[in-house]
Amino acid sequence: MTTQGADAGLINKVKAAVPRPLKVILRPMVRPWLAPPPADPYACADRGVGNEWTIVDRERTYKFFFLCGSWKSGTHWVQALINLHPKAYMTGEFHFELIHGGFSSYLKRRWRLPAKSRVLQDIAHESLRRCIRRSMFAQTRSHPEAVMLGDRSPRILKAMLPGAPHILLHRDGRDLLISRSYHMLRTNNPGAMLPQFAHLLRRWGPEYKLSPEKFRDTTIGLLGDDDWVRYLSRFWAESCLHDLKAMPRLISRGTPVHFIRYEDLHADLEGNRAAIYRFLGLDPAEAAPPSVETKTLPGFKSENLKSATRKGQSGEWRCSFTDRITRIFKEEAAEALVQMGYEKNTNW
Amino acid sequence: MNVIRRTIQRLGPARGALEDPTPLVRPFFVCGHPRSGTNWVSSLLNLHPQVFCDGEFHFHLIRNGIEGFQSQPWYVGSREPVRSETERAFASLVLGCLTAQAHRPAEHGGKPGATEVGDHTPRMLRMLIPPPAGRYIIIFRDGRDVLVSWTFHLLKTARPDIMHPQVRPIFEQVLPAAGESADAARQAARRLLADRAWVQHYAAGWSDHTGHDLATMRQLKADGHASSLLRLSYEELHADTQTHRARMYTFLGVKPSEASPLSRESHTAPGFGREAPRSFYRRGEVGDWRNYIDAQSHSWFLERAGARLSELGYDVAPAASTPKPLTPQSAQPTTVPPSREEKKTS
Repeated sequence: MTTQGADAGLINKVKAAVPRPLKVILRPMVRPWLAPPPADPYACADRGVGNEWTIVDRERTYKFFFLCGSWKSGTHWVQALINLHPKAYMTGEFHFELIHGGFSSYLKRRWRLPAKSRVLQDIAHESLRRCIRRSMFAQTRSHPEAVMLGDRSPRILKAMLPGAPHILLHRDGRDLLISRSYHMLRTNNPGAMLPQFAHLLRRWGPEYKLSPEKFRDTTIGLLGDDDWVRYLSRFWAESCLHDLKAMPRLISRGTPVHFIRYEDLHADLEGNRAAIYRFLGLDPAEAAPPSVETKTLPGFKSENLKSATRKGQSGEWRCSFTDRITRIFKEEAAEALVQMGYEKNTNW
Repeated sequence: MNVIRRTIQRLGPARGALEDPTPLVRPFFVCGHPRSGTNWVSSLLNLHPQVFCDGEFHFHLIRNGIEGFQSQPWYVGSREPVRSETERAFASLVLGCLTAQAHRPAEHGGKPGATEVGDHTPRMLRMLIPPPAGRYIIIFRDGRDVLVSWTFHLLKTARPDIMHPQVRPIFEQVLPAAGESADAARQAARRLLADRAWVQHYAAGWSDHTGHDLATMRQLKADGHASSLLRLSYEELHADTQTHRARMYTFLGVKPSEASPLSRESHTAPGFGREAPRSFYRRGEVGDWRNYIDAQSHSWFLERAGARLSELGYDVAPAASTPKPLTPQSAQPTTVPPSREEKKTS
């Protein structure tokens, strides 16, 4: 007999009548008769095996990895390339950095209890890592052959599971500025914009839907707004500079990072995707070839202003940058452009 | 017990402190605006052998992160099964932390026998563990007393760097002289409380905070969770501590008769019998604002928070044109040990 078959009300009455010390004695004898909790399909992800980013489920070993980089820097493309390999599967966007940020705030102020207790800190760290593993396993385990399970989230470089492979992708900030401006107009979601720019989408979003061709004129739309251009240029520069500093730090602490530039991937797709597979411990020969259907070839046949995969070219900024945009971009991101190796100096 | 089992089943298995398959604890949360008496409520609850309340955990900071993680429709976290996984992870973390803290050995400040374990954090009312498994105690206090108490507290903690730019300049002007003596702290507090920006900034903050809490309470009641919420007022607790602490124990399902008596030593008796401007336990009185807020400052306060005061049932009649002088008793030197800053000064 289980509690499911018995009268729950009667059981509760009996429980209420039994004194607590007697309950403690009886519990081990009674518990086997109670209904078992529902099976937990992700229990294997509760604990890392050997490290924080490896789990074993029914004698099969799975490893987690991460892809990060700026928005519109080609993370979708790299995801599609990785998914050409039968032993890898990645999806997104998880954005674990948002939960990570919550945990960091929770742990840092000295007057807060968790900052004073090693035990509470350990519980928090363990809980965060378990949450990441379980979430990733829950979302990616459906692919039968995949043993490398990944998250693609456009974000700055930060180790979500210490030691797990991280792929970092960057793109020329000038192309990124153009690409992201079109992307925001196309998706037309003011809720996804910083509040100070939401009015721009309300102003231009509906018009873009009707006649996107009109927005090749960069004096209108998002690119026509100096504050937007400045914000995005600065954002890109800060992300790049952060990642350039973070990369050696992570590597020195045992988290491998594989850095790719969008432009290099464009120029040598086969060489770079083979390097990605090898970085993940996979045999490049097992991967399917890139194709138009899987959107894994560099660039697209023609420009489609209404598609998430709009053009996929590098150096496109040359057709769109005016003197005004160039001046603002240089003010905010000239140094980052040099440090990232896109220009030798600011005379471009 | 069914509630506990359902909660545990929903939370799923855990490990270590998170992993006890039958944690015989039931969580609760004490919240309210800073300086509204959340510490006092916690101390009162801890007089009961089955109750353990500690703080400040600030679990809501992790909650903020999780809400961000679930916020956009294209985020994986906004959809199942990941959404439920993160909820489960959060609930498991909260229960794990509360249990670990409560079930430390008694010599390390724990109470291993406690079944009702809670967090007191001065914060807005938000659901951390959904009711009925999570229970919430919220305390309100007259915003004018909060303002005075908060002003002294800020002078004591002396952190202009974390203050809002709107009030930082006046605070930086006043702060250097505030640490010299108890009287200097009182004078500094009076200067701050005579500053319009200061008064209105904190009045608006209090009004927003309590407004949010009242709206959340209405929503909880509308959702049928009124029994998972206990509302207290600092003033009522002050006037009849025994009755209202009994309400708290009953709310948590423990017997009021088993609680220890109130005492000055445990900071559980109402008020502290003296004013110690540089102590965390400064005064603990009702209506102390009349000693520090004049008619002008009061009118500034009412501009920003008068409606909220009325909504909570507080008297909003005009204040005296000048603050009441301190009573001889309250002006007496403090009998509590001097604070660290006072020791340094002496």
